[in-house]
This record gives sequence, structure tokens and C-alpha cells, in this order.
Amino acid sequence: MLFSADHLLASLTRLLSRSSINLKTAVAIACIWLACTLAITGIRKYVIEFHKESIVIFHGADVRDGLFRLSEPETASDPDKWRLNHSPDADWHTVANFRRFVRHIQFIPAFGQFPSVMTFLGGLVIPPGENVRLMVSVKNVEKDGCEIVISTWNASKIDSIRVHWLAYQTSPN
Amino acid sequence: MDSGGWEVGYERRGWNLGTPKGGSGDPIEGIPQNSRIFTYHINFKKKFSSPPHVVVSVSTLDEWKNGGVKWIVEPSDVSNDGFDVTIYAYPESVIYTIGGNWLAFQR
Repeated sequence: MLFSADHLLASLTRLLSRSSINLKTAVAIACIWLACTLAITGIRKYVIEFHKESIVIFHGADVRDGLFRLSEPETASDPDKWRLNHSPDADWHTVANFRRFVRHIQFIPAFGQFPSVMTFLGGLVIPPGENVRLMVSVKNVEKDGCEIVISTWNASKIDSIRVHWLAYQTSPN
Repeated sequence: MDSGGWEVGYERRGWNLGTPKGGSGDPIEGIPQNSRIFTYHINFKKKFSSPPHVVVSVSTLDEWKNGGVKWIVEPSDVSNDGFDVTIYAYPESVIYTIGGNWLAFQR
């Protein structure tokens, strides 16, 4: 409230003590003041509610993010090599052609609780003439890490991909 | 925090990613030197107190398959007021429409 009840009473008494203002005018002024106060309070509450999501999310949250790019040369020294740029071993129309690459992400230090993880596709290189089949998903989310899985299937090939990830925990530990 | 969507394409004035440039870009070494670049400015709904961290993603794509699907999207020139979505198209690629989402936040 903008003014206290005592303040209101004192104001009314002062007004009434003046001969130029009668009781009707004082009541009218008080009603207008009350209506304005209620309206302002209501509008403020509505504005806060309306923008609740954009205010609350990430406000004081523990947020981590990273970016990686995958291709055969860039994974040459890794234990898991990028092979999604090669033709599938089996016939292109079989389910066996579902091929995937798993990128392990480590959160250092670990989150206090299980975080939410999102991925953002930031770059893609697929050879000319190829149909595009791509799935990016997040698996096995733990407090200290997660897996980001890049998948393709049938005859499709992916030369290179760029993925941005973001992990966050909104509630305190 | 602020977020929103973006979409650009052949209907936009100055669109230069709809015609191949000729030649080919190295698909491995990040952004090719001879790629075409298109930038699209986005204003934040509310000014940040300092330049925020921005993430851009692609969720809409209309691209000619015979030119290959070859692009990189990045945020650039991030300020308190806004940022640019920068699209790098490899020389042989033909993009009709590309779009997605963005997220800006301060740690």
C-alpha cells in the first residue's frame, strides 16, 4: 500500500477541519485515492505475473554451456571416432543403418541436483545430393555429466556438425 | 533473461545466400574464407546491464540439397541492447530460408 491507514485518517481529519471541504467531498477524495491505490497495486501484480517466466528462469541459476564441433578429422585422436560421414555398412533401407555418435559432457564441478540440458544446432555440413536425416538428443543426464547423441539413418551422411549445449539448475542445492 | 525467434530468407532485402558463389568450401576447417555472410540484427526486449551470453539455434531450414547442406550460425556483436545473428553459407550451398531461436542470459 502506498499510504498507511493512520496516514489516511490524519489526512481526512485535516481536510474535514477546513471549512471549505464538507464530508461529501472528503469521502469522494478518499474513494478516488483508494481506487487509484488498488488500481496501481493490481497493475503491478499483473505485470510481475505476466513477466514471471522471464524474470524467474536463470535468475541466480547455475548455468553452464559449451560448444563442440564434430567431424572425422576432429575426432581422429578421440577414442570414439566420427563415422557418420561414411556410407552405412548394411543395406541403406534397413533399421540397422541407424548410426549414432555419443559426445560425453562433463560438468566441473558437478551440479548439486540433476540439471536440465538443452542443445542448439549451430552448424551442419552434409554432402551435395544427400537427403538430410538428423537427430540430436540428450541422454543419461547426471549431476556430473550427460551424453549428447547425434544420430542419422538410412543412406544419409553428415560430414560435420556444430552443437551448443546449455545445462542449468534453477533451484538451490 | 531474454529469448525469441528469428527467420530470414529470400524474401528479405539483401538476401545473398540463395545463389551459389561457385567453388567449394573446406567442410572441416570451421568457417570457410570464401563463404557468404548474412547478418540479421535483433534487439533485446529490455536492455541488459552488460552484454549477455547469447546462444543461437536453428530449427527451420529450407535448402537446396544439390548444393549440400552447409552453414554455420553464430551470435556476433553482442551488446547491452542486442546482437547480430550471423549466417555463414558455404560457397556451393543455396539457402532459401533459415530460422531458429535465441536465448540471452547473464550468469
